[in-house]
Amino acid sequence: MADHILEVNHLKKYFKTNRGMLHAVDDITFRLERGKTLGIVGESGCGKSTTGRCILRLIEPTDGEVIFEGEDLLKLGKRQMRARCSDLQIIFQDPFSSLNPRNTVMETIAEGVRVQKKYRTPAEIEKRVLELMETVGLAERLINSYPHELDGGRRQRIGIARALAVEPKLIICDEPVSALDVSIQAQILNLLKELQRKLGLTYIFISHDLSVVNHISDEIMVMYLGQTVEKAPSAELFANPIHPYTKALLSAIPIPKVDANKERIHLKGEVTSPIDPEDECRFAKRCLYACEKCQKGCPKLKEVSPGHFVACHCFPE
Amino acid sequence: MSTETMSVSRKYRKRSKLGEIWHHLKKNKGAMTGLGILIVMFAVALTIDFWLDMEKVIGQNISQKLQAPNSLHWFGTDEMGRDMFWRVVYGSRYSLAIGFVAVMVSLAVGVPLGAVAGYYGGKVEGLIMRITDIFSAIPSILMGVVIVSILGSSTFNLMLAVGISSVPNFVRITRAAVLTVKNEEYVEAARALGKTDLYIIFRHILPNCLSPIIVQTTLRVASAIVSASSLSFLGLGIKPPSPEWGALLTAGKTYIRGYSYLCLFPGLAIMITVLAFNMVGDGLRDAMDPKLKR
Amino acid sequence: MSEVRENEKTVDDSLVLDIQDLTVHYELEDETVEAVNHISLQLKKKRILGLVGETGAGKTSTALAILNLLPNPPGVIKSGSIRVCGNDMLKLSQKELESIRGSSISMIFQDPMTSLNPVYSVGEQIAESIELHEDCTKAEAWEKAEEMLQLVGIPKERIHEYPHQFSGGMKQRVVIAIALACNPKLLLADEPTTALDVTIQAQVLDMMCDLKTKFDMAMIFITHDLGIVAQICDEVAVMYAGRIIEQGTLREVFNHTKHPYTEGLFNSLPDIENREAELQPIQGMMPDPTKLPEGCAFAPRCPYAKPECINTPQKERSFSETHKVLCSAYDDPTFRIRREEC
Repeated sequence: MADHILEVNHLKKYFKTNRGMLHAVDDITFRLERGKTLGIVGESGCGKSTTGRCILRLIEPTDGEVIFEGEDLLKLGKRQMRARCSDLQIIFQDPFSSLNPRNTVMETIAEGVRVQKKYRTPAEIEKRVLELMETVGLAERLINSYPHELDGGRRQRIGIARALAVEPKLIICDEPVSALDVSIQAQILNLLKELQRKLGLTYIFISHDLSVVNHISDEIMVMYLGQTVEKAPSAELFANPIHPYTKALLSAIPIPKVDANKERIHLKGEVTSPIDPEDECRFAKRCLYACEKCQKGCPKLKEVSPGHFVACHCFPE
Repeated sequence: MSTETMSVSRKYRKRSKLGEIWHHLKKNKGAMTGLGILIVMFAVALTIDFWLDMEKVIGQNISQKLQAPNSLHWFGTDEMGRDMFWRVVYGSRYSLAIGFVAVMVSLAVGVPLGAVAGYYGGKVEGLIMRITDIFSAIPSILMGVVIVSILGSSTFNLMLAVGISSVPNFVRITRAAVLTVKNEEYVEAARALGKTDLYIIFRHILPNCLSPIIVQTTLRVASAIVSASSLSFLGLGIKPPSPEWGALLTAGKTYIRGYSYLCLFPGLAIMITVLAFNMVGDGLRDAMDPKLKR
Repeated sequence: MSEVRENEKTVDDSLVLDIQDLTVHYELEDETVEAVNHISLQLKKKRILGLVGETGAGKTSTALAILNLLPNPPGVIKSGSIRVCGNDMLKLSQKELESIRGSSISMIFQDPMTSLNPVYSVGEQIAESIELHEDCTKAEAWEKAEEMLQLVGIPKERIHEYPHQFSGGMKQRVVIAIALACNPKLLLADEPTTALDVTIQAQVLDMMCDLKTKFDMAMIFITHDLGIVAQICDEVAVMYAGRIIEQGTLREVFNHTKHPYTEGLFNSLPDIENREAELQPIQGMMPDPTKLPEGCAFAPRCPYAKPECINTPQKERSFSETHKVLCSAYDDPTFRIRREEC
């Protein structure tokens, strides 16, 4: 029996807009084992960030269940939820807007430390802040620096230290390296992996960059317009993609090797509108293999091999 | 142990946070000039009752009326032969207080309301903003008249009236600033840490909304002084013959063609005060913004 | 203008762009940012050069200098010459520059959202640039605009629509249509696909390659993504702290990497075929561009660095006619970087 730290069932988030209901997240279900990493990939607007924020209730979901260690977070009152915050944390994409420009490194990290009632006196708090700074690889002398004095990589480390300060069990990483340069990106990815090993963290890693997600995740979930189209262990997904969208995504990754670029699968057109979608496969309009079947109802996720789920009418057949 | 670790953040820090602000403010010449002017003015206003003979301020001497500025009467004399210099100096006692207290009142009421409206949105915002709209639809003089007649005519009620009539400005400006800040990721990060809304508003949102609020505050000081004078003119507030800059200005208006200095000096006094507030405000804004520090 | 024409004859015809010893500084109140330092670049007709580097390496400053569009102050071109199709961009008058920009050379910026004017329809914006540079009537310009839209894969019926009615990928196509409207000889593309999704990025890149052949133009493609470079470029120049530290053909730079920094970039990328491979990031940060060392700016982060690297000015070393590297380690003839050994 695997130890599932998080179970998300039929999570939905609809936004009311002037033109109708925007289905940002539409019936997402997954389970996450303790100490593992789930990667969520998809293009902008596919609902991957919204999913992450719904789990933390930074955005209130419309419907569904988020069961964390056996407790449905969506049923908690405001105050109880606040207390659970020390178990779940988030790291943001933009290292420039995720830190309050008026707070020093010390103040930012201390904010997280204070949530844990363990540390009371200023000296204890400072000691803990220094420990955290060391954990994420920030030099002691930066303790009174303001975010604007630091570069993207160091800012991102502050964000990570702030999240770690509450000693969380699950961290949602929302595109944590997209805004960073490649050499810094690798530093942060290595740091995240190392922290996972040391502290036994569980990650949900949201990104649009498949090669990064592949590198860090044990399992990958591909989203399209608010729905899961394919979910599989990373190696399996890359070796044996089934959904036409996954195939197209994989073929679109630019590979930094001469002559490595294989046949590209071109998608027709662009992402369709997530506002009041019709009851059909949402990918059908761009799909190369779309047939009549695809117009009849949303395809359901089905297991094609152990752990490999696909939502498609036509594949695998 | 504790002293040893505390020294780490001390080691890399030259000053405390307030010290830091002061250090940067000190380098700003405009702000220091403004601060100097304000200190002198407040010192005069606070102590004037102890050293100035009221006779100099309100004593009439018709034989010397409407004299142009000269060595005896630096700012000239008014239609009752009163020395304008002393009247302007004594006026600071009222005008500074009105300007300062009235703006503090509107700040204290307007900023929290605006912050709440901007942060929560939805129905709360609708309610606050509609009430604000209703308030700003009533001419401020009329509102002042109503407030003063309800509460009774006194200097403090006058300040209150003036302050309340400029609350809508602060609500609107604060709300607009909060709207831009509240979607920043650090606000979300604080929510993810389980901080309360009140903490987030005061700790993360308002400090990043300071610029427009400070600018508005310094500008409002001037209009508060002037609108207080219109209320005094209507007999609701400071009673003549006590001089107050706005009242001096209104009184001088009748003579502006022949004796422009009657308006000039109280006008200058208001201008210098506002300028001083403005320079200090700008300086403070820059000194409190870590991004502008080098 | 006649003088310009004369010059044209004396220069190698196939060379679209010729930069010699270009140095760009930003002179701020109390410090000088050395954004670009003594770079030389040549680009032939129909070739695509990938200009690679991290944030702050001086890629965009180089591109702006080529257009002579550096914000001045604080940007100053300290030395060097830039020739585009034989015209010395730094010596032309404002008027001549204006006629060259857009007609012989154009630029595409990273963010398609802000490079289009929201109050004009896309047709108007394309036609405007055609009218400005070509001697034609309004009707002709519109006709050409329709043609351009179709070329970048947008149905011509959408010509009267406004930018907000287009998606990000579509907007970038419109921007490309505007840039190509006057058949430029040289196109500077500053991270044109960074803001786009991968599938859309793939579409746009393929389209740009097609258009390159169709329009016979040369392109400088600024990017930080080595994958994109491998996909579309013929030549590569790697920039670090304002210098080109390695340049050569795609094959030379990718398969016979010489510079430790280029190697570091490759090692930082997750390998899609080998999930378990440990990433080897380059340690440390970019140096402060206001305090660049005398010698190699990469030395403090370089795993092969010797103490003298930081003080001795580097010499350019050629490994072939096209492959040039800026690294003193090759003074030692036995020196090899690890990537090449395996």
